[in-house]
Amino acid sequence: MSEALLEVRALSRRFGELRAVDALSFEMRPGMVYGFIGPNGAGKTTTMRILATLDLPDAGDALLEGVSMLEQPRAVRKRVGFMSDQFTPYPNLSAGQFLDFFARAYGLRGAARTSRVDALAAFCGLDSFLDRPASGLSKGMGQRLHLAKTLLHDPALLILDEPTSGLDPRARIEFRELVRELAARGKSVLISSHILAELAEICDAVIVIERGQRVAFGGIREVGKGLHEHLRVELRVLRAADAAELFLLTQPQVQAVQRRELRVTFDFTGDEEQLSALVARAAAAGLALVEVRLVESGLEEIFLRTTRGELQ
Amino acid sequence: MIESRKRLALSDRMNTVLARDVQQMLNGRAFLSVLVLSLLAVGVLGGLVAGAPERETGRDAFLMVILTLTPVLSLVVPMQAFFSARHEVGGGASELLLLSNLTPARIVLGKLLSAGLQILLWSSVFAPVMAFTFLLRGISVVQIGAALLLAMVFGLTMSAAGIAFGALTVWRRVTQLVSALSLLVLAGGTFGFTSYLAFALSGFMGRSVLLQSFVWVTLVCALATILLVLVACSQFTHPYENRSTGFRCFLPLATLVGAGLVLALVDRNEWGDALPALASTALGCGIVFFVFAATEEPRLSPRVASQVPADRRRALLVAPLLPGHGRGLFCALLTVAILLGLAELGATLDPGLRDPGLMRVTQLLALYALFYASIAASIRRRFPEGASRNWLARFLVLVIIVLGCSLPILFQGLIGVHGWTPLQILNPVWTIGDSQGSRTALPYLVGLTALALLWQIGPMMRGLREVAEASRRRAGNADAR
Repeated sequence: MSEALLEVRALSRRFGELRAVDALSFEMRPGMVYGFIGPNGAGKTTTMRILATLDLPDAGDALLEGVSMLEQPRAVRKRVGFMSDQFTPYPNLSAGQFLDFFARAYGLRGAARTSRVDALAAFCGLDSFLDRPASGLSKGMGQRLHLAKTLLHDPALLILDEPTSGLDPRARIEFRELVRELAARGKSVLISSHILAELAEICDAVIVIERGQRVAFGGIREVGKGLHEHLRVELRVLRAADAAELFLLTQPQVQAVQRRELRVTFDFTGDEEQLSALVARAAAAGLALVEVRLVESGLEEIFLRTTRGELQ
Repeated sequence: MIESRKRLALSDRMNTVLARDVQQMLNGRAFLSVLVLSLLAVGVLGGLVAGAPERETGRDAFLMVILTLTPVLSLVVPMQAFFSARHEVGGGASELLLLSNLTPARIVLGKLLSAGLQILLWSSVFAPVMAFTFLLRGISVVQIGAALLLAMVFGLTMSAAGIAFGALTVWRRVTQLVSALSLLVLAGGTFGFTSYLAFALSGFMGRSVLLQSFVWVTLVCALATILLVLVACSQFTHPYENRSTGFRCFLPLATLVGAGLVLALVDRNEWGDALPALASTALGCGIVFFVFAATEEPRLSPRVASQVPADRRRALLVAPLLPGHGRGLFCALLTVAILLGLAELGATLDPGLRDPGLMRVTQLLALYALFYASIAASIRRRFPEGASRNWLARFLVLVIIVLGCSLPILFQGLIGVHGWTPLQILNPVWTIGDSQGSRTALPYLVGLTALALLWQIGPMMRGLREVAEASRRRAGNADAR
């Protein structure tokens, strides 16, 4: 039995001649947040809609807790929460009535329904907004309401398509906190966003796709390491950065030296033991070293280095 | 505490969509406005009825009241249902609903129940004035009850139309057209129905004829409501799930219900006419059903395939009801066989003389239905997969029917030939309407239809094989588990 909550197996989806999703495979584990990134038109929303059982692949399948999305969509829907990028609340309904309606729709009855609605309203910070018209809420509160609705049936997998699009910075930070809290409660979250810095803050792993194909998948650190053949090292010196730069340029296994104020960055082709020897030599050469650290690739670098930005 | 628990338990038993629609209705301004206007109308009507009892009979007064109530029931309530359904599909809310435990049928039923509740409410608002018209004499309680019931049933049918039209706005490109069309249909229907009510209650019809006509109108409304509910459900259903079975069952089931009513209500000496007439009506409507069924996507979607019974015999039994144009044509063939059998049964059971003309009409309609369905299936096969191609095939069938009817007429006009000729064989209206023509056309049409069907044997068999294969796969999966 695999530990994976979700197994996506060679998923493909065509729209006429366009291959929106092309043999895409990945796995998701419980309690982890997965960033789903790619250029516009890469196939993110199509993939998410397939995983939410709202679209059908031409080939491949996805198994949630071993249950096929293709064959048992109703069983899968009970365990998936999908928050689309589109949210149009019903007119003439308060936020509380909106949540109550969806709680009924998910089969919650009696006291279980009211307590679930109250608990989720509290979790999403909606307690004091329950009597307000749902269609009159701000974008940020609307997204919270949408999230609360998505969580009503206690899904194991959350699929969030651009949930922070159009939110102000405070609302974004607050939303991020909610996602972190959900992961801490054991939910597996697949989240797409174009704001990579934001994703980097909350994601444990990343799935990068372009033209419907997976171009990178794994923990952010592992994927970042995989992008470089060599160690990327940054030195900070107390003074004389130019001397440090000159020293490095004369050393073996050192490439691509760059100086910026009192920091010098370079690629090192040796292993960590050899790097340790280099640092010792630098100290012996009289360089005033303050800090030596390995530079990890950020999400933006991963995105830029793995995708070509080709539109389809 | 106990009270609130009881209230919760009661509201839990309500249809979810109905509960929400009622909340929306009570929160909205439209309801309050219509309520105020209705109360005002009731006040004015009450004043008019009470103020002139010596001039107005109870029947005229009732007519005035019911003709005021009818537009509310058959236009205002259905328009609200239309907007509600339009919002559901337009805002993407229906997709969110489909992720929940709600099924398309429960969504549509909830909307229909909500419309029904409003109809009851408006009827009860007008009820006191209606009761007063009885006191003025000239109209019986049965007539008042029957007319009110009919107006309510018609209002429900129009609401079903409103929901179906609202759901059809899911096609964004034609939203405006559908909206305009629905307003036209609802307004036209309301006008037609109020005219019928005015005529029916004006005293020209005898009491028994009046009640009989009410029964038939109610029956037609009930059938139309079921059909419109099916249309609405199909729009709320995901495109890859089964939208076909309901439509494929509707025609034979509705006809069998109709046949049951004929056998129960109509004199045995008239069965020989009534049952073939019923079968002919069903076959006339069936042409549309069959063309739609024969122009569906060729293959089973994986999601429908996963619902095929694992038992091979059961799978093959339900195969004609599953989506796919080959299976659709097969279903048309079976339905036609049932309807022809029904017509033949009527003629056999009737001890009186058989009317060969009526049977011929039934046979011709059956042949035309199958011929055009075969043509439709053949056209659909020429195109690749895709819902838009289904519609293209349907459009082309319509073009063929129109050309098949109009070109021979033009040609005959040009060469100066009058009357029915074999050139008119593709024109069902003229061929069936012309007694000599229908006799001459029958053998030709049998040949043409047989050829067209033979041409489609391959797709029909493929459709059945696909179901058998899906059933085998399911049985294999079950064994593996």
